[in-house]
Order: sequence, then C-alpha cells, then structure tokens
Amino acid sequence: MKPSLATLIPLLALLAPRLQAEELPPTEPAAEEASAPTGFVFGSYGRVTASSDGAGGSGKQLAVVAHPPRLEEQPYLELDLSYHVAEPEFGRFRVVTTLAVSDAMFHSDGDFDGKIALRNAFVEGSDLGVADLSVWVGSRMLRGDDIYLLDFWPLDNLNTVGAGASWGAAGKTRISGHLGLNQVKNAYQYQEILVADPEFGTDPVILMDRVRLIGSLRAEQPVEVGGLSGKLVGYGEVHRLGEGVAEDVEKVRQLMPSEIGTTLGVEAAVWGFGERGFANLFLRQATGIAALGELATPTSGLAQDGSVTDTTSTRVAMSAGFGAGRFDLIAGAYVDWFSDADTVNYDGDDSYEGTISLRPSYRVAGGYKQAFELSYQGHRSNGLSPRTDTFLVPAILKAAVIPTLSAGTGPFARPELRLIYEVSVLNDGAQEQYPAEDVRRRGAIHHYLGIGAEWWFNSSTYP
Amino acid sequence: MLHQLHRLAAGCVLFAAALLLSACGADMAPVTTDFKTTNLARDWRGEVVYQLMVDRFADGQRDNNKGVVVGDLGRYQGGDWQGVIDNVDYLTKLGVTSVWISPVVRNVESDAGYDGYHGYWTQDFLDVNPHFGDIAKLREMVRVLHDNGILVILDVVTNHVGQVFYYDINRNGRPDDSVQGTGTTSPILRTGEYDPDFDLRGVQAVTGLGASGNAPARWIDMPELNRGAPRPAQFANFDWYWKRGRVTVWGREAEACRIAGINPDANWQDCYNFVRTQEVTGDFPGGLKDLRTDLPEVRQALIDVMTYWITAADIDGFRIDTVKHVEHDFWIQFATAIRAHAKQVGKENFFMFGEVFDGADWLLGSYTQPAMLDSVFYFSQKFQVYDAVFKYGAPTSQIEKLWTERKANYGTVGNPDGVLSRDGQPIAPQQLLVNFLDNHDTPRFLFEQPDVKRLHLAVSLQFTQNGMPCIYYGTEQEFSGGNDPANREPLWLSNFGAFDTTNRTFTHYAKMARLRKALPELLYGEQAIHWSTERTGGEQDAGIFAFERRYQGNRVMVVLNTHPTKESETSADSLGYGSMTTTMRPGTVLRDLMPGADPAARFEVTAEGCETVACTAVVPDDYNGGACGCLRLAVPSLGARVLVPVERAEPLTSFPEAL
Repeated sequence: MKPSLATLIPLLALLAPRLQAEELPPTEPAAEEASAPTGFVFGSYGRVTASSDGAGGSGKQLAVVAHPPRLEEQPYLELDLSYHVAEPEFGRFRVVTTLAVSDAMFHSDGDFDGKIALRNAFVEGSDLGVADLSVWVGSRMLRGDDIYLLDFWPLDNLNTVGAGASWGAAGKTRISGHLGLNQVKNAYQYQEILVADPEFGTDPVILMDRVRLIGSLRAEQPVEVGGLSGKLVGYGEVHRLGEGVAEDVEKVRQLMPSEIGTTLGVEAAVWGFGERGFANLFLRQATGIAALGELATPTSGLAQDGSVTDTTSTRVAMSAGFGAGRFDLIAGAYVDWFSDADTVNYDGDDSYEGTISLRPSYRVAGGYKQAFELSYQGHRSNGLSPRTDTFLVPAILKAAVIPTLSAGTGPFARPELRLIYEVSVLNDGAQEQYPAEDVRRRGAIHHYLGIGAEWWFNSSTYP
Repeated sequence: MLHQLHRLAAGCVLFAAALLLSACGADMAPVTTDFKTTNLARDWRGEVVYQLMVDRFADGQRDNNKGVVVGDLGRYQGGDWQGVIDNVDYLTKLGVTSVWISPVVRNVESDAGYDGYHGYWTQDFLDVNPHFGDIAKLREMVRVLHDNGILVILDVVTNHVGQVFYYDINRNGRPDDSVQGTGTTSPILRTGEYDPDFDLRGVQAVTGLGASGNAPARWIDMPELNRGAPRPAQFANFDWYWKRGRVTVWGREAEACRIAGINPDANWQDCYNFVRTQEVTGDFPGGLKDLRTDLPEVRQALIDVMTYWITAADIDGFRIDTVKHVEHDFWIQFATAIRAHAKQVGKENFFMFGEVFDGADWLLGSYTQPAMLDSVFYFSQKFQVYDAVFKYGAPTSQIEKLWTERKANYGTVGNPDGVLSRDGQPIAPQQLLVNFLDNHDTPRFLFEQPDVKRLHLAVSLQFTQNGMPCIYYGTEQEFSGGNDPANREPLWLSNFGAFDTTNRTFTHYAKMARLRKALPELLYGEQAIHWSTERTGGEQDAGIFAFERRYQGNRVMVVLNTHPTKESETSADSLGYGSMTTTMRPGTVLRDLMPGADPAARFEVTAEGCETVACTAVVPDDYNGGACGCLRLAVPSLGARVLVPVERAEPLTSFPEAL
C-alpha cells in the first residue's frame, strides 16, 4: 500500500520539533562574517528528491526557459570544507574547498558513479595590514544575490580561477574585483590534434589554445531608506578571448576571431519591512561573449566570421519575500531578451523568455508549513520551430501543493522535508517542442509527485 | 479552460515583457503570419534564368552549416537562402530576372559518402532542407527576390525519392553493401542491396540455393542521416514503388538489348521499348527509389505535395527533374492540376519546364505536346549546337537542321490555361525552350573548351535566339569544372574574388542581358535563319550563322562567326551562292549593337548580291517569301554582330557605351 499525503503529513509534523532552525534571508550578511570561526568548519548545501509522474514514469522537469522553477530539480550536493586561521599579527586566513556532486543517486540508478566537480578551492586572507581588505587566490564561485525559487543568480555569478580583492566589511561600503581565466575543453578554446611522428606513429599537438580572461568589479553601498535597510550594487564584467584556429571533424581548419564582451548591471535591495520582508531588483545588460556566460561555448548564432560580438542579453529580474505571523510569501521572476550575432533576425536564437514564481506558505504548527507554488514560464522566439515549421510560443503553467517540515520558521529555514504534488499545464507550443515519440508529448496535463529534502548550513552557496 | 488559464497567465507576463521590450527598443519583430502568394505574371520569353544551386551560391547563415566540408564538393558547402538574400544585387547586376533554385525539400543527408546538398534525394516532400534555412527564410528569400523583380522557379522531383529503402536480397533483415547476384540476368555477379540492378520481375531475392522470389523491401533505419521511410506518411507504402532496381542500360543500350534477347539492328522498336521500360520503372542510379507514377493515388499525392510549395513559398514556376523517367500521360494530369492550382491561388502565368536529359530532339519535344509541359531544357541544342558547333567547330548548318526540326518536334500550340504572352495569348512551347550551355549535370563549357572567346560567342547566341537563356551559376565567373561534382564549385571561391562583377565574362553576360532587354525583337520576335553553312575551312562563309528576329515590324539581324581563326562573310560568291538575304529593304543602314562593336560602323542593305523580290511596305513578321534586300558583311573570328536599323538604334542612346 502506498502512503498517502494524508498519512504522511501528520507523521512529518511529529518530527518537526526535533530539527534545528537555520533561517537566513539571502540578502543579509553571512553568518561567518558576524563571528569569524577558527579551525575546521564543515558546511553543506544539498537536495534529494524521489519523484514520479503519477503514471508509472519518473518525475521530470518540464521547462521551456533557461531558468524554470526549481521544484523539480535533480539531486545536487555540495560539501564545504574550510579551515580558518586567525593570527592578530598576520591577519585572518581561510582555506575553502567545495566538492559538488550532481547526478542521480546510486540507490536510484544503480550506477556507482557520479558527476563530481571542485567548485571552490581558494585561500582568502583578510585584515592583512589594511583594515577591511581581503584578497583571495584560487578557484572560486563568485556570486551575489539569487532568486531562490528559480535557482538563479541573475546579476553576478562567475565560476573562475584567478585572484581577487575586496575592501569593505559587512554593513559598509564594499568594493571587490577579480581577474580570472578559464578554458573550456572543446575546440572553441582548446584542441589537440594528432600529427605524424617523425619516426613512427603520431604525436599530439595543441592546435587551438585560447583562454578567456575575465575581469569583474562589484561595488556595494548600504543605504537606509525610510527606516528600512537596503543596498545598491553596481556590477560589471569584461571578457576577452584571443583568436585561434580550430579543426572540425572533417579536418577543415578555420580561424576563430578574438572576442570581447562586457556585462553591466545594477541591483537595488531593501529588507526589514514587515516581519520578514525583502526585495531585490536586478537590471543587467551583457554583450558579446559575456552574454553567453563564462563557461559557455557558442554553437549557433555566430556571425559569418565566427564571432559573437553582436550578441546581446538584456535581463530584468526580481526576488522578494514578505512575512506576517504564520504566513510567508516569496516570489521570483525574470525576463531575458537575447539576440544572437548573426544577421538573421528571424531565427530561434533571437528570443525572449521569462518566468514568474510565487510560493506562499502557512505555518500550521511547529515546523510544519503548508506551502503552495504557482509559476508561469514562457519563451518567445523569432524563429519557426524546425519541428513544425510554425511559430510556437511554448509556455507552462504550474501549480504545486507542498506540505513541508522545516527546522524553523520563515521561508528559508532549513533543513526541510517536503512532499510535492505539482500539476503542469503545457500549451500547444510547449508540447510540440518534444518529438512525437517523447513521453512528454502525451498531453497538456502532467503530474509530478515527489518527496524531497533540502538543507544548507555553513554553505558557500547559501551562507 | 486550459487555454483560458494560459491566456490569462501569458497575458500578464507577456504584457509586462512587451512593455519592457518596447522600452528597450529591441528589434524582435515576429515572423509574419499573413503570408500570401503574389501574381507576378510576365511573358516568360522575356526572362533571363539563373540556375542557382543553393548550397553553392552563397553562405549567409553559419548556423545551418552542419556537416559542411569545405572543398569537398560531394558534401555540403554551406550555401543557404540567406546567402541568396544577401546577394540579390549580384543577380540584378548580371541581368537575371528569374532564378531556378535547388529543391527545397528535406533530403536524405548522406549516401555512400556523398551528401544531399543538391536536393534531389527527397525524404520529406513537405519539410524544408534545414541546411538552407526554415520555411520563414524561404519565404523571406522569395519575397526579397520578388521585390527585386526576380521570379522564382523551384526544382521539383516527381520520379523518385531518396535512398529510403533497400532490397533485402539475402533476406537477412539488414542492408548489405554486397550480396551474391545470379549472373544470369546481368553480367554483374555481385550487387548491393541499396542499389541492385534492374530486374523486370522486381529485384529478386537470392540464397545459396538460387532465386527465391521478389526481395522484400525494407525501410532503412538511419535517423542520424535522416534516412528512413519517406514523408508524408502515405509515401511510406511499398506498393507505391516499382521495386525493380536501378537502370543499367545507359551507355550500353544495344548490348543490353542483346543480353535481353532483342536484336537492336533488326528490331529497334522492341529494343527502344525495352530501354524505355527501364528508364520509366527503374530506380534512378544512386539508389533513388522509383515511384509508381502510373498509379492514380501516387499521382494525386505528388500533385498535392507540389502544389503545397506554390502556396507555401509563393513559387512562380517549376523546373521538373527526370521528366523522361515518368510516363507521358502523367505529365498531362500533373501539369493540368498544377496550372489549375496556380490559377486558384492567383498565379496566372505559372511556368513548368522539364529536364529530359537526352539528345533525341523528338523525345524532348514529346513532353511539350498539348496539355503537357510549357517547355523543356533544350538538351538537343546543348549537344548539337553549343557543344558540337561552338566547342568543337561543327558546321553551322547543324544549327539550322536542329532549329528546323523544332517546328515538327515541339508543341506548336500554347495551353490556354498555361503561360500567356504579354498580349494574353498562349505561348507555344517551341518559342519557350530553355537555352543553356551547361548545367549541374554536365561539364562546364570551359572544361571541355577553355577558350573564353568561344564561350562569349555561345552566350551571344544564347541571348539573341528565341526562348529563354539559362545561366548556370559560376559560368559568369569562368568556372571550368568537369563532371559532377567538379562542376558544382562554390561561387564565392571565384578566381576573380567573391561575387566579382567586373570580370570579362560577367560583364559580357550583363551586357547581353541589357541588350536583350532593350530589343523586344530578341524577346518576342519571330526567328528566321538567313545563313548557315556546311563549311568550316578557309571558305568565304566558313563558320557563319545568321538569323533575323522580327517583332511588330522591327528587325534585328544577328550574325555569328564560329570559325576559330578566320574572318568570314555572309556571302559565298565563289561557290555561286551570293550574299545573305534579309527582309529589310535596300538602303536600310544598320548599326551593330553588339557590346564592344565600333559605334561608328555602318552596314547597308543593298539590292545587289542576291536575288530580291519587291516586298510590301510592311513586311509581316512571319514573312517567308523572297529576299527584300541583300546584306554582305564580314564578321571577325569568333565574333558576332547584332544589327539594327540606325533609326531603331538611335533611341537607345545609351548603346553601346552603357553596355
């Protein structure tokens, strides 16, 4: 007999008081900065979900945009291991490593393997003779504020290897910058080919070798407006890529031109209204190679000379939350206009898309909350669908019921256990993005049944 | 209810997005959804056609360059419809008024290491080839061409589909490159299951014990090559295919007849029928599966898919592939239905011409009989005139012989529902033949004859004779590739530079096109031969060919000298033939409008030198009586003259300098 929602909810409610509270709205200063730890610190972010489509199949993320609601995301885990040293004469240091695992669980697919990445590996020194100055060197995720509901950092989100510096402290003016390099291991940036050895066999040679140089600068100014706390953030990036020669599968070589791209953006944030109110507004414009993301390789929409100089991305995004007594509401939304570098105005790469998601919740008793989520996502491309030769505007409307047990109050209290029932309504365009043979093509209504857990503590992703 | 939910949510989100969008000023106009066909009815005799292999013309969009192997001419090279859009100026500078574009339908991607870049390997009759763009891009290209006064002729294939199935000769359920043949019906002992030899019974299955009946046909399952059952779905029916294997008789017709027990010398008619049966019911070599175009349901399905493109892409005409491989009566039904559909969607002069790749003039003409096609490629002229006379020096009497046979071989009556002249009269097919020097299936003119002067002379005839000149892309850039695929060079790799419009051959074409446009006689006029010769040596008139074009009382005399080394005259006094006759009266002074001609030179029609009669004041255009005057003049080696009365030439003030 399968457990029903009705039997599981009281069971989860019984467990609630035993869990620890950890509540941090994403715009507030990190806990580590309030009281600098010493010695080893372990932290983690993670989520695990078991899901079904209610018809004997697996639960699937249905999306038509780049940043859909996160409710249906696959399991993901980060393990943060850091060591902190404080020497009054020399300053404070911390060594941070973050191991990330992104894959189906072994117990789910029987595959004793996983996708592992080292997402942080850096040393940061603070108070090195200059008050409020810190420098870091290594591999690091550089991130600002996110839209939790969409698992999306709309303004600043760089994965980079390099070095940076920051001047300022929590609650004060803070200016930070960095310079980093990356090199995606494909023919766009790096390629080895085989040539004949002078004697026997072959020798590998590096034909394409170009790294992306990325610089970023971020200025954050706390503000007080009408008794509310807030901040203004200005942000910019410059990306530079030299030219290089690539060889395709048919052994044809071509020159890939040098690239340059920029990102400029601002963020305004305010918090402290209501009981748990906060709001962030993001505006961002990126051009050239910066519009594609720092680890992306362009595969379409290139100009005839292979450049992406004329690519643009313009983005408006927001996240907000509000609490009153037992009630909470968090929201996230973005709209992104993207135009590629080729001269063709009517193709699939010239498009705009957006998502809006709302998650109201009501704390019934203890850590038991009854949450709901309503979202809408849509994508409008200037090109025809190659599958149908028609003009499609795929969109999905989702509604979810989420009985939740949290280790505390508020929308960001974690750890959290939750049951999820979600119904997705796909319009014709969303259905037709899938081939006729695809099970996701079977109709307008799709169900998702899941049970999941999410946590973070001392985490580099959610500090 | 669901739609309402979506509408409500979409309304909120997209309204906000639209507000922001307009504030940002982004250029995101959606693809037009109110596409309509246009009616650009023109007298097709006035057209200059340009055969444009889309993959080889211009690469305008990098995104669709999947599988491109630059320099390997059997593979995709990257050309697309955006490339055509980007280079319309090139076409207009050349004087092109119509383009014939490659088939637009989705093809089998690849077979035996070659790609379907040419478009003749249909897999889906109703989908576009993604290497060229999408349906919106096709429409955009047609619209841009129309906006520039250029009509669009679409290449279509009704005879066959691509390499979509194989014959499971050994019944092992998989396609084999090579299986044992019988050695009895064919000298080939081993044959492949993709493209086995013709067998009138149907391709036979063979086991170690011998024949075992018809080999089962099976759809190929190679989705990575888009190689599978054809679409739309009704074409995925084995009953719709002959399944007899590939034609094997070409180039060895007599031998094949003898193998089949037919003596070609004693019984040529039976031998011919034997060959024709293979041509009509056999697979086109390369594994292209032959449709049973004798079946009514197949005919209707082909009509349906072809008419789709007229409406979907606003096409103005069809160039029809492999016409001689389809039953004659098919073309009556097909052409009639196409004409009716075109009229129904408002296209009044929809034009259809066919490829009958054959030197037999009577066979070409047989497809232009009443209710059939409007025209065909003039292959017999390509072989007997442009190859034999202009490349290899055969006598010009060969031109006269062929042109004279035209009157008997080709349709003399236009179709009332077909293409009409500028004054609304049906145009007889024999006035609408498509004149070409080379195309994608033949070596380029300069491959076999690298003398550019000969090419220019051939172009001079092509643009002054009646019918429509058809330029094969790249000949204007002096491309000289040999047989397929060497004759399919990317246009942008011209030795003169990409899309050069200044080289001698491009400018010769452009000037001839402008001359043709300036003289309606060359477009619509009657055509009468006034001189041809058997002589090719040192004789007075060796290599001379002359004809008059007559329209609304005006006259243009075209004189060409095909002799490669010697100036010749329109006279053979020494042989007792006198001078060339003309329907222009004695005393008429002529000026040569040929590009490059001396503008001061004058040529006078005389009463002496030939036997004349008293002509009426107005000589009818179709006059076939005695000479009104005589015209004796010399033409340099490989030169041409386009002669018009000076009073006719004067209003054309821009000549010849502007040419």
